[in-house]
Amino acid sequence: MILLLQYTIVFTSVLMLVALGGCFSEHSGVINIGLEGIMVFGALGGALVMRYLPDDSAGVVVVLLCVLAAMAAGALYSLLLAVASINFKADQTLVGTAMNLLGTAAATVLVKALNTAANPNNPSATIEYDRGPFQIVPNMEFNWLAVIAIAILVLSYVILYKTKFGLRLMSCGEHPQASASVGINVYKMRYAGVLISGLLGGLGGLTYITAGVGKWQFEQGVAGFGFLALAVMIFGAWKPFRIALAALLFGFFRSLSNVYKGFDFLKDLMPGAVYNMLPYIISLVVLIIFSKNSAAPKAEGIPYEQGMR
Amino acid sequence: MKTGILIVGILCLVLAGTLWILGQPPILAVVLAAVGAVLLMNSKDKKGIEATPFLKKQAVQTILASLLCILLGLLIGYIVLLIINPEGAWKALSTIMQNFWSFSSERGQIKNFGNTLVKTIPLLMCSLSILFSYKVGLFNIGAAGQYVAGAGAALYCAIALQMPWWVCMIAAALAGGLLAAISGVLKATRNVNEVISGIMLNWICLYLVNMLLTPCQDINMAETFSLKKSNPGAMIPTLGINSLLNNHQYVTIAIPMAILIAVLIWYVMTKTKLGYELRATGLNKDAAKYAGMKGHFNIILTMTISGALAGLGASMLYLTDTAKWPSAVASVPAMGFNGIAAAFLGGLHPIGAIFSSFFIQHITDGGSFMEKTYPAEIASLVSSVIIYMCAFVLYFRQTMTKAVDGREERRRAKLVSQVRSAMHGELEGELSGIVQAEIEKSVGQDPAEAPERTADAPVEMIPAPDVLPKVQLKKEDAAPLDDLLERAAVTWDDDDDDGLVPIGVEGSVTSVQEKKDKKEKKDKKEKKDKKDKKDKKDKKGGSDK
Repeated sequence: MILLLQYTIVFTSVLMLVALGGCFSEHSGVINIGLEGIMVFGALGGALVMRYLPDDSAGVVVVLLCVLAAMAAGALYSLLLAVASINFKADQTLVGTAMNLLGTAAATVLVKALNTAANPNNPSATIEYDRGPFQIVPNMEFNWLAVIAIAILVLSYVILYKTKFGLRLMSCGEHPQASASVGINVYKMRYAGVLISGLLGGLGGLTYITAGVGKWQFEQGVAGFGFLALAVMIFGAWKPFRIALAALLFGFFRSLSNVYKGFDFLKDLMPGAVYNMLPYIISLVVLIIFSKNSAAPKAEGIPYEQGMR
Repeated sequence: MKTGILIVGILCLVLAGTLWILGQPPILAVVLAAVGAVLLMNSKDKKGIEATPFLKKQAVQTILASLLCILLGLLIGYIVLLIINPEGAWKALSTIMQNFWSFSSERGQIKNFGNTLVKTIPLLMCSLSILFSYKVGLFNIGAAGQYVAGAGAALYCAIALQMPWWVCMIAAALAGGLLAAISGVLKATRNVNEVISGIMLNWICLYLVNMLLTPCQDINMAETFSLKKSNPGAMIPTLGINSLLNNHQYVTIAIPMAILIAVLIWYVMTKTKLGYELRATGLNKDAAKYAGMKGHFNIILTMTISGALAGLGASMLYLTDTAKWPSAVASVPAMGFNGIAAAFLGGLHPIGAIFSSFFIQHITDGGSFMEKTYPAEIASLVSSVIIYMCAFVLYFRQTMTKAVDGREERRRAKLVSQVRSAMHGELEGELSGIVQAEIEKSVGQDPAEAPERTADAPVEMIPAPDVLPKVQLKKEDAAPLDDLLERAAVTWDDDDDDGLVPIGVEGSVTSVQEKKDKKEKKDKKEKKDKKDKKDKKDKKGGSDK
């Protein structure tokens, strides 16, 4: 039971962070399918920092530096999407897909190169690190990053709905021409949206890999979590607190697929593969129910050109 | 006839034929033949300004843009290789690019060429699936799941149900189609974003197929049974095609079948009513609905066809026994996602997809032959960078169009200014001549003995008054004016008074014919004047002693 709770918190915080990032990007009008690639790069940044920091650093320093590194890596990688879709008016779905593929490939190449340089007999794409500093209670999965995730949730709500910046950001995704006519720089706002999604996505990636394992194989990227976060975002109708609830639902079912073997009555209820499928089936059902009145930002996906009607 | 282009085109075709006969790698011959054909098609002169300039043709632009994407991708891959280990970087890159040619023996070359071909086919089918749905405005990211569904159905029918190969292929197509139809129905009726539903169905399908194929697993090998042993009848027949490639064991009729399907898709999209309706729905859903096309039905039909293509592609790989399904696949196979790359690199055209999928598979296989100091994922890094660059294709094409348009505009402006200055010069020349004559008359010089005003010789006479601009133009140069005017399609209106009036000339500029008449009149008048003056002078001269 405790394990279920722990896993739920972990997966919820991951999904929530990444979905909030996607939410910022889509509110500014840029569809961000490349969340998976951003997660991989954020995880890579954080893992590298964790691996190469001296062993006797204070816990707080480790956590802080890793978080900053992950955010920076994610933001840098999201620049690819920003430049392509805002300056060059590229197709955002295609750029996102390219970023996903590129993220996994680039991370694998980088890690393998580093590992081979350190030890020529070790061409693996794994990084090992010590997650000790991240755990609030040792040997339990309660992660400082989960606390950070909740803080960011509240912060997102405040920024989006209670500050000038956030409201202007949302207006750029609904009707950029109207925003431009009032004097808002739509390009800058969209850049801000995509970069914020990079920050949060990177942090989500770091949370994902520090949860539960002491090493991470970068060949598998993030095992499809970025796409799950997309579904959470759409399920949560692009609103922060609904995203949190959706992430909770998802996280619960996803962790159930990991721990069902510990519960006898669950083990006999359904075959194991069904538990694996459960989060996706549930999300599909929910999407079927809730997509009819989709409240997507109206101008998302349409490249913005100044002066266009 | 643009003779230069025609000659180069014919040369290319002849070279291609020679290479083919000499037995060189057929790829080079095919590429040369394609280039020659394109050049031949463009060697006919289209009249004047109605022809689309070569660089503005959509096909040319797309091909050039794709080539640029490939170059940039390879360049970035090379930089990464250099960073990792500068010494072997060039060799590694050339291995990636050469793939099977990097083998020294011809047997090795042909064997690996066959391997690449066999793996190109599912990639081609997936890319066809993606581009078919993209033309209708749907991004079928669920192609990966439909691929998995097709693989599962094909293998299950082959191993568990012991069906012949064509039944397995039909089953695979049906499975893929059904899965995609779910996405389509959800999109059409409940407005569920097909990207998300596709991703969800990808994962659901993966786990389902894992469950389905458990009885087909060979416990010793942790993958499905080899088809050769369990059900040879399920393997796609070769029909002697593999004799072209040294009896390669995996080359089957799937290869020409896939190419035929690509051509069929092109035909359906461009030449049939259904294709027209689908493309219209993709370009503007509301307009298509307004015109009476059934939107919902079209979306569902498109997704079904896409899914069937992807499922069929999976069957074309697994039924040749090239690959087997491992016992517990953890993540969705990358074939569906690489299909996106191939579709966009091919410019979203079925025939282009053939070449682009071959290219992507070529570099992927080439990556596996690199030395072990470099990770094999470099090839997928290069592919992903190429897809990323493909997103800029629209920008490349816009830049090319702008460059061509700019050149056109400058050429026309030069033509127009030439015409105007020519007409100016002629008028001015004549008028200056008349004024000159008057001035000489008053000064007493014989106008008939005045030196001819040519463009080269500087005028050694009393300079004309400054109010008239000096333009020196041979009278003979006025003749091509008509041709120039016609080609520039410039007509000058009588009443056109929008500032085209040159300074110092009375009245507006008139049409060519009227200009000619005016010129004749002036000539006659001049001659008459000259004659009169001469007579007067003679008379005068006679009285001047």
